[in-house]
Amino acid sequence: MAFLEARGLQRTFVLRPRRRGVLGAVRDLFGGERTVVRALDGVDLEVEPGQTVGLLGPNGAGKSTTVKCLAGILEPTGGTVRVAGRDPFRERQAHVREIGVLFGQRTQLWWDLAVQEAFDLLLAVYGVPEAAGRERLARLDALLGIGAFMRVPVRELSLGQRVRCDLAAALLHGPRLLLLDEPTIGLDVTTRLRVRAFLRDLAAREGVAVLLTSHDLADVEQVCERVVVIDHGKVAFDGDLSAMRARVGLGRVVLVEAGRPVADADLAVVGAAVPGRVVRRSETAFAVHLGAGEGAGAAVAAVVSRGPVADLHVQEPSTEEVVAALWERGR
Amino acid sequence: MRPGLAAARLGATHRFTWRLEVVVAALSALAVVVVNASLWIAAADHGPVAGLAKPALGTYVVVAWLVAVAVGGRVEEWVGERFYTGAIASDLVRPMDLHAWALARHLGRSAASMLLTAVPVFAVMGLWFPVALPRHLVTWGLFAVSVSLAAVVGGQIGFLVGLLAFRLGRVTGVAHLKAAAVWLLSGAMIPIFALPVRVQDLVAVLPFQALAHVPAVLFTERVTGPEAFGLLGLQAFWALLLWGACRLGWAWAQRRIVVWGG
Repeated sequence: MAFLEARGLQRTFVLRPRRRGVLGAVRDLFGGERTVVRALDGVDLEVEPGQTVGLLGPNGAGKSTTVKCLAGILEPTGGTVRVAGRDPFRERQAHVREIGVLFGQRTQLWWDLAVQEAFDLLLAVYGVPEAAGRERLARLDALLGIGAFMRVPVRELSLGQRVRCDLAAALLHGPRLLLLDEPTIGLDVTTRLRVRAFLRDLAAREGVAVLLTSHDLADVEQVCERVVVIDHGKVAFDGDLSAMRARVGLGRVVLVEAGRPVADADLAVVGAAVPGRVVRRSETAFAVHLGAGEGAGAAVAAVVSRGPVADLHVQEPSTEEVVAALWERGR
Repeated sequence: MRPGLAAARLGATHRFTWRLEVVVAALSALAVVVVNASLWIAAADHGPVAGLAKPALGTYVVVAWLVAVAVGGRVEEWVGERFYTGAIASDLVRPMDLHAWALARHLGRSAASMLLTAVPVFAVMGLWFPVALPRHLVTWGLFAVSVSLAAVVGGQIGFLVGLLAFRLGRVTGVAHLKAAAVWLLSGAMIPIFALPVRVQDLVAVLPFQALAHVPAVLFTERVTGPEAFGLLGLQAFWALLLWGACRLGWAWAQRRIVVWGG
């Protein structure tokens, strides 16, 4: 059995849509409508120790619900989840000792306690021995640079400072599984890079399984070896990024700056020589849109055969474009 | 440090955090106690009220209110807020039990309140009101145990009321109802002896007297010896019963938790 295993995971929610205006509110007092929403509709997922998995999906796809079921906060309405052989919901207390959770949107620290106090409290809650706790905190400080505001109450921290403290808090007890919901929200560029490097390192060196959701696809590109796309409560894709690219079928683009006016005849010749579309971008520049999986060699050869060029650039489709295409298809 | 102790420390720290709150809490307790004690002492001008002479009556109303305020806490607001805002999500990803955590936190907070509000206000009252300290050393021990049990009862009543936030969304309304019940039925405002007999019968089957009446009668040494232990037993009974109710309520609530959005 995998370290983390979800089988046919389902979760429904009951929504109570409100009627409009005062009269509507009064009528809602005496029982309104109820709609059942299927947030998760049979999610299958396996994660092994040391794996880094990015959970992607449009808003409302079921990413956070998945994370909450894995964290033991929500009881699934169907299917099974096991983490290290445990049922996260039924054996919550034992389960959460082994996981670290970060919801970038809300803090898990205590609003009016100083950061240091909050950390002390967490070390006590998890029963981390003092020496081990101090050592871990020093490491986290070296990475996240949180030492400067250890005595500041959490409510007085800036968003970036708070997220860094929350990240440290999620890692303080040495979890085996990290669930990160939007972990880099509010972080500046340098800190983002440091956090990503730290997460990669954590997975590689300590064998921590990392599962993260993010709308910053660079997080996923730089941290995750594997991508799971959730859409309409189901797994729409599971594999590595290059496989996702291949599946979506967006090809590369060769951008050509000729440095001299280009004749339409030249473009026609290039277009005939390669399987792809040629689009003029200006008097002196054009782009060759290649098909999925096509190499750029033939296109480049055809281009230079028509005369010298000033500059040439081969562009991969961006992850954003790939993901957008994947979601578009799911509709 | 053990988690329970850590939670108690957290509760106490919170109580000390806001300087203004410390002052306001003490002043408002003092104001209520001055008014209430004056009323009852005036009532005792023409002889004992419900069998209590002036010093005993004054001490009872002062102690009852101060203990009720200290151990009453605001657990329901704390619990309700956590459900309402979704902060419950962060509680659930920690290896702690919300009921045990809330209770431990409340005990720490109550201890801090006794120290910050009850003791100084009682001392000030001692300057110009007929209030008396217990004559026997053992009474202090009984009183300490009784206040601790009162805090356990108070915290759990609050927790149960807070759980209602699940059904109700907001907890403010029931919190007011609870406060009114504590004021009227615990002995905090009106000594239980002075209540109409019918109401006394009602009070006898409710947990509220464990919050103020029991500590107050022990402090004033109206009840001593084996009977005193009987009263502590009554408090312990309510503490245990409420423990069971809280466990059930919390188990019920956990299955219904929904944390919306993000």
